[in-house]
Amino acid sequence: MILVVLLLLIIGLAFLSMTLKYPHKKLFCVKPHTQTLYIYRVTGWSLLAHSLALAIYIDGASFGMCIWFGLLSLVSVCYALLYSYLPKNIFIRSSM
Amino acid sequence: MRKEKDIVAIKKNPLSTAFNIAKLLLVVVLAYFLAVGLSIIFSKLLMFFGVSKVNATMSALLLSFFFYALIIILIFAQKQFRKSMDALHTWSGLIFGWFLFFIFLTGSVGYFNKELDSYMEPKLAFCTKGFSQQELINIALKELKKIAPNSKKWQIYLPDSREDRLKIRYQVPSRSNFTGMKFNHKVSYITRVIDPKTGAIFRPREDGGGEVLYKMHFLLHYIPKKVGVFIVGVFSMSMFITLLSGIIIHTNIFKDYFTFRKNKNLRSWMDAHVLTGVVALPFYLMITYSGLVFFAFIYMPLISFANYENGVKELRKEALPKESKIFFQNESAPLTSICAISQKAEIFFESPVQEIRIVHPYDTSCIVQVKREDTVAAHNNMLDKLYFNGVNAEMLPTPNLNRPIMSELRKTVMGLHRAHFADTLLRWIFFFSSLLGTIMIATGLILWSKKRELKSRGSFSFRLVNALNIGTLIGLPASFGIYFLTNRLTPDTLLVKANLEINALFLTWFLSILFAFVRDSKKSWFVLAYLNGFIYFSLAILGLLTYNQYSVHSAFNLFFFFIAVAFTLMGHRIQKRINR
Repeated sequence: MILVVLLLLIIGLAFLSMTLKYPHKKLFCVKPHTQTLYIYRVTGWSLLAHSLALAIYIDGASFGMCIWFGLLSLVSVCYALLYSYLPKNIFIRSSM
Repeated sequence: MRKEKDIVAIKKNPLSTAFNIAKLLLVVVLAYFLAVGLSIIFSKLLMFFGVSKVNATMSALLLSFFFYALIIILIFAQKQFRKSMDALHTWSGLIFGWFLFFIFLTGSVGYFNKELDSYMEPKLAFCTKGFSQQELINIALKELKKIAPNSKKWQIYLPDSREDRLKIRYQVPSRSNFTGMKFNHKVSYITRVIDPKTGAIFRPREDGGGEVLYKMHFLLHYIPKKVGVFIVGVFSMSMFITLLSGIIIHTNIFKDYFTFRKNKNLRSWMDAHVLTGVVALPFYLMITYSGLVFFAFIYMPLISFANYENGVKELRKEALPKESKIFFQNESAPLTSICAISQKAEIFFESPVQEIRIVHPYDTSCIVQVKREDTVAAHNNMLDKLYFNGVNAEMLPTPNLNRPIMSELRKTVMGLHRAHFADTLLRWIFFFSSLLGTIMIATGLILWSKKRELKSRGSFSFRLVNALNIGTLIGLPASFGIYFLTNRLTPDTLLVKANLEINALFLTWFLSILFAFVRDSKKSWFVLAYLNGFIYFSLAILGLLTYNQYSVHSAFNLFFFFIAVAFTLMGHRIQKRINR
């Protein structure tokens, strides 16, 4: 069950990270559309909220929140390193 | 730019340096008394609105640290608020950074203190698998009856997920006890480890091991305990202030949340510092604040005098009521089957039993206390314990301590810091979060010297900072490695073994600082990194040579191997960069 929380966090943070300038530039090289940004933001935050709710449902408020915050920071560090060491614009290259 | 002028002025006149430092110290002390005054006013206000005396004083006590941090920030604030906070963040971070690194590293290692204890005593690694709980309880009881028939208290620690050994502990009367957590004990306890296969009893080390590493986190070493606690308090307060000022400087937390630009020298170090700082910010705030709350009675004793005549003692008595004492009846009575009690408790808990405490065995006043393995709440609550009558095995109602709500809050915050409740996953999460904190401090320190590298390369102060940086950031992990290595290489029969290990740790730390100071700073970076790699490699190999079935040991070997690889790669990278 805690793996589901992790999965939700990973997907949610992926959406949220794409709304930010640096990772988006790294991935797509085109400027994001405002509407897509909005969709990404809503999806990301709602996924994060769901994962928090699930974590609290599984482990109770105190433990669930501890685990959630811990996993959140770990996943974010992984994403930051991933974006830094990823080759530029992989999405564009693969589609061409 | 004012800073540069100041530095020039300081260089010209050594007397003004002393004067400036004295001024700074005076300001900090005055701010402390101001914070105490504010908290007293706050508690009086709360009492005016009808809050009870204990709760008002306790909440003032808990909030006083916030007041202190706020006052310091306000004192150092100038017209350009952000800039002045930057200065505060930089200089308090630099002055306290190395010790904070030490405290964070020992703290993160301390989350595995029990595992380290069993790692550092390979002789006492007995496999308890294949024995049921009931069998283990019976073995322990038999030994207790044999070696401590007259003891007033017996404790049985059953193997759990963290520590795979069967331990017994019994009370003996004594005057002084130096190994206990508390500062004064009237009784002391003796701990023994039992090999369940042969039934032989072994004496575990009373000092050293993971416990010492863990205690260094809040007591330091070589100095009296109370002084250590006080110094650690000053450091954690500085950490708190540095964190808060850091938040003020870095307002766009979300904007570059995932940003880490590599290979850009200063920019990359900044990114790493900000990334590690932002990502686990709730953890850092929690851990520094709860660290302060731990010894709140020691750090802020003056607040209690406003509402209580006898000060801290009276407040402690009222805020932390103890369980009522069980009086010894001196009438012998049979002891019920402890196995039956543990089975009963297991059904009630729906989780295995971990600790059994028998108070006054073979007396009419005998009470058996049973604790479950995985706790249900962050604070050490009564929910995890069950009480039984030791004569007829009847379940007794759990005593209601009626702690005031603020003490409950304090206990919860303290419990979060200690993470005794954490299972394996949560323990690793805590460990990694505190490692991130260690990295944050390290990158911050490196950032300071990187920024001033070109301007003041030759100066003595810069060299000193650089040496302390290298000697602490890379030398401290090496000295931890040496600590484990001395443990493995010295014979167990040595009486001063624990002292030797600790001395080796601090000697290595000191020597690596000295080495970095004497040698060219760039070279000592990778030399010490390689040394780290070598030490941890040899630890892993030694672990393989003395292989046993104990799973904790192989986990440690694997972990050391990874650390060795990481440090070797790091050394290689630095070397390549310098030679280029």
